[in-house]
Amino acid sequence: MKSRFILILLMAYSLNAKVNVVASLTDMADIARQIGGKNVSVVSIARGNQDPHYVEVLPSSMIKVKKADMYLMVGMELDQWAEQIIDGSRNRHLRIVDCSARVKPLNVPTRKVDASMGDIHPNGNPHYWLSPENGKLIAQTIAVNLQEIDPAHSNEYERNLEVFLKSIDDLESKWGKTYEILRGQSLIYYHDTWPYFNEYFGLKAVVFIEPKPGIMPTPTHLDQLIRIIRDQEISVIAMEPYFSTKATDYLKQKTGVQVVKMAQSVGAQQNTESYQEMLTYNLEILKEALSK
Amino acid sequence: MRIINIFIFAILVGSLNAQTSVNPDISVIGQLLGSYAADEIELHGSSVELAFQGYVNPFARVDVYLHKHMDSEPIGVEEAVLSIERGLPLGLALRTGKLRPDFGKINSLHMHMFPQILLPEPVAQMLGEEKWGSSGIETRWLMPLLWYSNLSLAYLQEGISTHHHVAVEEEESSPGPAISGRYSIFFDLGNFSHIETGISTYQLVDDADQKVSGFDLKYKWRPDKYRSLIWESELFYKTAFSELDEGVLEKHSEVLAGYTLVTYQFKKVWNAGTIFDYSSDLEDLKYTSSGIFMGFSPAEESTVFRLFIKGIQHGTEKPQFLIQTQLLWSLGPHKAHKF
Repeated sequence: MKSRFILILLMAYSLNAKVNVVASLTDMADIARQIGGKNVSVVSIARGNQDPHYVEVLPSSMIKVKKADMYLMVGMELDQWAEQIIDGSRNRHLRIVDCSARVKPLNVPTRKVDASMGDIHPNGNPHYWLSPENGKLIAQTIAVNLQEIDPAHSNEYERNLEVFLKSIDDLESKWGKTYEILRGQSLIYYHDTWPYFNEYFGLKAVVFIEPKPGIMPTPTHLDQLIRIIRDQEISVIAMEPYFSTKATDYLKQKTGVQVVKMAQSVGAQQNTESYQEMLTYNLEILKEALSK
Repeated sequence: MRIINIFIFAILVGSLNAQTSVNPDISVIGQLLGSYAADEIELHGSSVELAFQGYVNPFARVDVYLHKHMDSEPIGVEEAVLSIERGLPLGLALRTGKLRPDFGKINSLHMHMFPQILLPEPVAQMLGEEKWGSSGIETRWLMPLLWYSNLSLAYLQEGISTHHHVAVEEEESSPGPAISGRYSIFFDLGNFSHIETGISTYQLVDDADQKVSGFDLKYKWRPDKYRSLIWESELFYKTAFSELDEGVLEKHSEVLAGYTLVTYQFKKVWNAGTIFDYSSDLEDLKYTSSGIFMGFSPAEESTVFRLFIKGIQHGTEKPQFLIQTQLLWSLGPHKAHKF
């Protein structure tokens, strides 16, 4: 009788136990939260306003991963720091999911990559989550893995995936009309974070504030940027919130160009608490700036 | 017994996979070192560290570091370690090979990571000029607590080689096997800062001639990628005994030594700081030194220029003055310094 009672308790516990998910970035964490619903507990290692290239490997992050069932990596060599965190967690049962698995990469180098090209990623640009189509692929990857880890709630994950995909589809039809003005517009970005976003929404990156990825702007490069802004009548510079505004302030002062701070991840700015909000925020801020 | 079986299994799987064509990560860190002391200028340009790193199988990885310190010295194996990080139960990890054990904060750091270029002299006296490393085995236990709490225990074939830098001659001793342990904890203090502290202990296996205890504390504040502040301190206490008669020991040496340093990173690529070293009994004389340093990293983690100016007071000797400059560069994933 006693053993039967314990068995029932254990079964009840296992049915109610949440799947612990840790994600490198807030974007994957939010999508996992939407797919997993009440059956998952999700945390992210990087904050939304942090540069995803440089995240410090802290022992406290290892503790987060220690009890996790699943780790969501960005992949494409963006979050190499995650490998040390995963190793340090000593978690033998962790499922490591590469969220880039279904994504078609952009800007894959066609020649040998070395440091003379700056901080370039040999497998292509890794900021793929900024296209809503790739958001759907990330969600599908996460759903499949949750179903395998927690088959008891497989139907719920399937339903939540459908809800997520529909929410993106609905937004896509709304975005098409509301942000039509963005198509064909040219702007300057600080870092090459936005090729997937640009491809989807029809924007064009003329040049970058960084002369090469990860390299700080030089005076010569800033002079070139001033000429480009004047010659091509560029009205907007878009930057991530974690970069210094020294170079952009200088360009603004010299040319009158507007500088907008984008949200490259969920939580990078106010009102970007979900993946959908983050994409809409970026469209809205660009529309506002380019309409002036 | 189970742990030993898993360990042997991990190594065997490694040998079965030996036909893999996947290359390890290969890195080179080079150093150009200039110094000015006692009206003499020296320049060393051939100091390099070669790193080969990678997984040998799903359970174990290997990290090999070869180091050539100065122009006149041959290249040697600094570390060659097989580690099982995620293959063992109960939060255990195992490292074996030629390794630097987890003893204090500075012992396991490579020299190119130091913002102040040089190993503090009192630490060199406690742990050796090249710090403490030998062939052995180390286990690390991540305790099942809500915060990071790690216990490391090591057995090394050779204890700390003590170098005694006297003006003219150098005396070196190579003691027998030694054991060490370190208990460390780590806490986040909000989103931007954290604190780490640890206690360490060391002694020879065969006799109680050498015992070293250590305490370390590190605080770091990093609100964004352009600014950070680090305060790091470490204190060592060393005792040694001689057996006068059977069972009668006499304490004949007692040294308290340590350092404290503060470094501040500003405008992304610059950092500056200060360090103070102290030893109560370095060659039977009190030793103090204080210095200031500055670093410039124009290309993130792969290039750094450093300048270190240091004043030394050793007993009643005339104070010495030292200037060091360093240019570090790195190729590959093992970086020259933290960024």
